[in-house]
Amino acid sequence: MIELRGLTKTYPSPEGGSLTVLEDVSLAIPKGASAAILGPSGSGKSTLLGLMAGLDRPTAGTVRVADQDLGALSEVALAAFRARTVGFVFQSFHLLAHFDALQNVLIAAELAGLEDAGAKAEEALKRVGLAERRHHVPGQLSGGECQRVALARAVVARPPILLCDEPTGSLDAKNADRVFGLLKELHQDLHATLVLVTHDAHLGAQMGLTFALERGRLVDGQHG
Amino acid sequence: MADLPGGLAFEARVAWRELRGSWARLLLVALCLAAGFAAFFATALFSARVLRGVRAESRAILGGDAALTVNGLFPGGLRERAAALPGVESSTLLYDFATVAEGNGQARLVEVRAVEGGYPLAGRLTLEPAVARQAGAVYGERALVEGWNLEPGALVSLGGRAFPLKGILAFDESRQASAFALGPRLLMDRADAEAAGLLTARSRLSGKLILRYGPKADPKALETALRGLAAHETVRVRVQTHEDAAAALAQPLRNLNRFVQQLGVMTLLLSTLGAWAILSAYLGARARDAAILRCLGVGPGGPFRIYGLLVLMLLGLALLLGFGAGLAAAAAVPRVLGDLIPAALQGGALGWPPPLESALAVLLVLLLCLPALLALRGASPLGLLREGLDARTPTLLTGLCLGAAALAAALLLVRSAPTPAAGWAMVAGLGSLFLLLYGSARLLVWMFRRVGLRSPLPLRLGLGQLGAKPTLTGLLMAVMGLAVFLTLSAQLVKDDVVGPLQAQTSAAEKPNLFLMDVQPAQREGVLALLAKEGAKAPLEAPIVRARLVSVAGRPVVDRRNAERERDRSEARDRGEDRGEGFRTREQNLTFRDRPGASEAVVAGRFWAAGGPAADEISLEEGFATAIGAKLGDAMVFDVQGQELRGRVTSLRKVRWQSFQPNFFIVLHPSLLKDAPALHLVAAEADPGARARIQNGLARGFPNVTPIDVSEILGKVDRILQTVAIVTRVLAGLMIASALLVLAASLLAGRLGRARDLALLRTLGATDAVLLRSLAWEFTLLGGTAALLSAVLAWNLARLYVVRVLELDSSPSLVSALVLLLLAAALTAAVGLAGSVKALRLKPLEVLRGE
Repeated sequence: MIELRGLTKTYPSPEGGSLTVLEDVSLAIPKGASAAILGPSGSGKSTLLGLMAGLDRPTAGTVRVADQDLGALSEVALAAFRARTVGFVFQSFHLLAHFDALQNVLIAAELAGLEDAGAKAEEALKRVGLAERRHHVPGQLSGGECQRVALARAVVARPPILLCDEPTGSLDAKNADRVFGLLKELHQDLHATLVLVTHDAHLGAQMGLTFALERGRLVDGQHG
Repeated sequence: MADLPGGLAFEARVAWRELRGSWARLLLVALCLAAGFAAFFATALFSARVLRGVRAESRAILGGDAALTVNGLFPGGLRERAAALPGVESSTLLYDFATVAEGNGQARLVEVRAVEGGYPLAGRLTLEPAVARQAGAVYGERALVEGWNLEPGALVSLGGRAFPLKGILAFDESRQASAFALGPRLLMDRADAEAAGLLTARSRLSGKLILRYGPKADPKALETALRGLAAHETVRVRVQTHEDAAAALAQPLRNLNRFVQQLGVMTLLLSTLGAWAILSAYLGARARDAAILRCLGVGPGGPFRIYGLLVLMLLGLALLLGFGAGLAAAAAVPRVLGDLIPAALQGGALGWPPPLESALAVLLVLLLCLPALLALRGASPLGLLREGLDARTPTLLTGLCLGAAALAAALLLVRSAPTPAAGWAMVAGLGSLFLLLYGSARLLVWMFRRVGLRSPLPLRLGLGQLGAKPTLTGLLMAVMGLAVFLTLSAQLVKDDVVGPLQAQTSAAEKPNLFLMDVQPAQREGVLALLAKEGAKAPLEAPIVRARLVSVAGRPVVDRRNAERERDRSEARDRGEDRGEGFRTREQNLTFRDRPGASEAVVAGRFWAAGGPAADEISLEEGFATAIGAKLGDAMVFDVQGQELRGRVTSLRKVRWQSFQPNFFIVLHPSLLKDAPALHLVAAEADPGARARIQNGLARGFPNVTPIDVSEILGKVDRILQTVAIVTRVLAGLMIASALLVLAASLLAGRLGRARDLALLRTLGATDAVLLRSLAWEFTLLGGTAALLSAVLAWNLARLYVVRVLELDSSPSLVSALVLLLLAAALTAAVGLAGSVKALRLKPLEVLRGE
């Protein structure tokens, strides 16, 4: 499960002083659940997701994910945590442009220390329907295909947590539906905890839990 | 349209904002170009100043407007005839010779100049104290006077007569033309030298008549008249105008300048290539911004002008910085060069850089940037945004720009070469080398990516980065490769050329004192003197002076000057001029029963030691080629009126750098057993012993000329050290340019690199994995380029030394390995240092910033 307590994150402000992005946020997402974090631009959604992934450390408060207190982990342990425990999907895909689809997935599998990483990477690509295009580089793939490669990369190590930051934000409606459908299938197959950051209330409504952020504060949290 | 954003003021403001926004990476581009311009301007400015100095000082170098020079005594009547020519205002006759001087209980070889009143007719002669030169006295250079602790009035013995020292010869402008001297100069009166018996027909001396022209003289007509007079003499008379003297002095300087200038041009080309790679990548990445500006209403030519202005600003900054640094470097060069170039030639203002070359350099940069700029002009805003910002210039236009840039680069190289033919050969060589390095780099990246698919993750990530921008990687590797190639090949050739000489200067038990003209009756006494002073391993060689009469039945005619002068220019064109000089000069013959330690027989067979009498001759192979002699040819010599016949039975290769007594012509001992021989004795002695030996020779054997080779080698060594420093500085500049190019390209691609590193960190990569991948990437980049070019440099330098310089080649593996490792390590260090900032960025910030 994911448990956040009294989470605050501030950044130094360019004008001096500090800028509070998250303030005293507490929430819990049970193991295997799906949750949406909703809110307008600048409300702190992505920062919250980054803290859950151990990409940044909070100014105050604690983050517990899959029974680990991320604040207590060293940088090396955090890297291992990200490789084995978390699968991340970004709005703008973030594939390595100079590697083909298979290599992009394979790198994640190897960082997670999987045995037979090559076969597992192939299998993940097959799962998202891109087995035939495994040797294409991102420049040769459409936006929807790139996001499916990113999905394969996120799930190749079968992580217990899936974190998605606006995964359909850069796609047209048809591709967005396909990617979202895949995401839900993978969530069910893996029995993973799925956290989805979005400002699309329609997508949020399809999640088991929804949390709403506004100006860095949690203003609503409910079971869907 | 009037309401739309546009106009030059608007475009200049946007360009200025762009410059401020990306100042760090653009400053590196400017610095990169500035380093190249600095090397180019420094070498060009310094060369121009030296050559201008030579021209300005030409009369002073010769001592007048023209000179007639002969070996030996000046022909009677020639002076009067020359002085009587219309336009000649005055003349002075002088003699130069080397002899042993004694003073204050010490003796050494000195160069004496015996002059008349009125010397010099041009240029500066400074005596200390500043009084008029007196007859019956001598004036010595400071090195001699202070070295011997001579007080004013102290006696200096020359040819058995003592002369009082009246002062110090502080400066003689004509002395600048002599790069090498056998010893310090002594100035004396010609009449005193004659009275002391120093000027006789048997003496080794050179007579020179210097003429000064009147203000209305016609120099061309006088030169023709002087050549006419010289042509009627039976002895060879060399006619030299002050322009000839300047040209003769300028030639080696010009060669040195050309070498330095070529290195400067190559450094400029390296940095231009690097700046091109970075600017192209930078301008390519501005396609989106250009499209946005177009969407906002900027006209079709707007982005072209904005980024064109930016390029011009960078170029202006680079020119300014490069010119400043070049001026500073050119001003500092005299201190580095020391006395390699006469100090008087280095003075004066530095002037301006050569306009044509400078314009070509600027044009080169602009032509290289033009395709990327035109791509911004040609792309439609909507298409750009929709098609993934893939702005392309028409292939034909790109080809034309690159072709014109290649031509500008080629012209720059040709202008810095000694001849256009040599320049175009160099262009072809360097062009092929660049294409080879670039092609190999692309091929290696392709191979790495395929072979490396199963390699460990950090290596695979490093290879992935190398393959991400294959053109940039190829260019970076070619630039680094060229820098390593030029550095290593210059170093290896220099090692092969100067190594044996430097070994000689420092080696123990090698001859450092040569005694010339030891008569047979003096031989025992001289050897006893050497033994008494502890000189080691004296080597002896008999010398018989002779004239060559015929080769293979072809007579060698010592033609009159007129005939010789007429044929000289044609012969020079055919490369035969050297042969005539070799054939007609006085030959030094020797005899021995086995080849010397520094020579090897390369054709035919050397006679057996102690064998029966035979008419065999062994020639040095280069000399044989020059005089047109082959194995089996008959040769006839005139030895003091006696005819001596023999045939060529072997050719030898001689290691001239060995400083052993080496000869072009070696005869079978039976051929010369009755000939009047003098002896050359070479010995090795410590400095104190050498001084005592010279003193002993001056007293007991005044006709024997001692030459202290270690003094000459000391000067050679200083010159070689200077050349080595200059080579290293320019080589360092080339490597630095290549590293600057790498640093600038890293800065230009920092965002993409930061994104990839952030992404990998998100996927769980640790710092160690990322650092290893970066180390692999840059070590492979520098190491592969260096390895490839080191292999090329090693083989080509060897080929050049053996085939062109005809020297033994033993390139240093250590030099190659050190440079290879250094290039790889420096590339890795610069690469890692340039990536640290990207590595430290927080992944979330980077990924959200996209």
